[in-house]
Amino acid sequence: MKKIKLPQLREFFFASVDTVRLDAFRMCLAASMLLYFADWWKQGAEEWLTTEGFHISKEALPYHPWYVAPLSPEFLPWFGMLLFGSLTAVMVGWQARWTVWLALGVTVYATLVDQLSAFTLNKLAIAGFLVLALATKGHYWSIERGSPQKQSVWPIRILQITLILQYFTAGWSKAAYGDWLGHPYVFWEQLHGFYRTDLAAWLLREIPKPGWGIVQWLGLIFELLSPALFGFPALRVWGFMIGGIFQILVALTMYKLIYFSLVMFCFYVVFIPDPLLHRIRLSFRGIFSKKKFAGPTST
Amino acid sequence: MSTHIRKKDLWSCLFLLCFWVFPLLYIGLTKKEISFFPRPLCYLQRVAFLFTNGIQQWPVYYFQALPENSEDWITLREEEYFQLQPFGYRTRIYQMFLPFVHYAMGYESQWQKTSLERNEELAAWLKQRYEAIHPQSLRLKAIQFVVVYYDINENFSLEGHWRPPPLEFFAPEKIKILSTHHF
Repeated sequence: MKKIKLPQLREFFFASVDTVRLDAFRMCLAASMLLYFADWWKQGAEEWLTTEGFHISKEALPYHPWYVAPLSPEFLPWFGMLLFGSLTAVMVGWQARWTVWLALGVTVYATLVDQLSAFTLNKLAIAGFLVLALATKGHYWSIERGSPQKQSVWPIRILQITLILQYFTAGWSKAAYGDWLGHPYVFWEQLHGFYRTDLAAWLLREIPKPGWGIVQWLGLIFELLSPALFGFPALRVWGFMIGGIFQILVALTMYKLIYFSLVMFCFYVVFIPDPLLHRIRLSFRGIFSKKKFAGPTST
Repeated sequence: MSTHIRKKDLWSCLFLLCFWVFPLLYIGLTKKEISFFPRPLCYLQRVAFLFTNGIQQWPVYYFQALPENSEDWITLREEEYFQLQPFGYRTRIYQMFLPFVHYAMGYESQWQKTSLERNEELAAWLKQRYEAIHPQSLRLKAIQFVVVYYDINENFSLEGHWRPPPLEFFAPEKIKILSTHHF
């Protein structure tokens, strides 16, 4: 392929790097979406995806007018095979360059077919799969054998920027358009409603109300400081620790938001240094058969 | 050392910077859609507006049906019609009714403009489904949607996870009709 040169900032976006971070992200995102869709499927695939369930007409859609028709019930098993088959293939790195396009397609369909059950998680997954579709090499975390490859760092940068912007704009919208600066008990009130898990109910009974105000402030400060916490390598360990606690708290106290936290954690993977990712990968290789995971034993 | 850039990498990166990163930042900071972007694209890029406002009164929705030859509304069992609970202990139909979700996300105008049409479609679907599930029962002549605002400062249960109380739990004056649909 013909190569061109650019004068500045190219190292930041186009330096050549090991593929391990993007491959680890691919495996984690596909596994998370597999769990998420499996749960939705188990709860009510027909209601969610087919004409058996209630679906809003094109004229009355609440968010945008892009209408995608639900499936006829007899096509549901075929769609299920495509959905879970493509995600499994992406997760294990089988023909990942091609199967990731299928995974992207089924995720887009599942997001658009029912505006009532698609949330931020779906949107982040679509962005993640799109990055993978345009860039994945699929060498590490793969059942296929192959030699190590290098790739341009831009997909990693896009995913890193996505995580930082997701946190920062979430904090900004709470402060600028929401109540979080003027009302210390937004989080306390949010936990009372239909997201409330058994653990959340217990915490609400046991922790005095002012304590929830402190939790709220810590959460807001974390989101607003996320560009620094994840942008500067020296602060990243703090970003991981505070962000990890934040996402685990969300997952434990808000029903089903564990899937949101899982997808957010996938984006943490692209901040982990390559040597550590290789060590983790080799630990897994030690657990599973050597035949299952291709790639070198050291980097 | 110079870095060689493949055309595919350059265009892919520019594409995602223009159509993902920039809109994510713009929409997240301004809460406005990008006028020259297609609306579905703006919807996919609107990821920031989560849990922005306090909610002192949690709405609880009920579906009621009026059989022929009757003047008494019966409250339908929601789980007979909807099983999927996408985030939270509530069905996906809650997402259709919840005003604060749409206001927080900046979709209030589109949501309000089409809300009666959606309720009519849901009522027609519920009637059809009710008559299919209960073939021995009387046919329905109307469906209505009601809401009760459950104040977290008033008698609010914190025993276990969220469970919406039965409609009878609330004083009649707290029950508000969202819309009624006659057939």
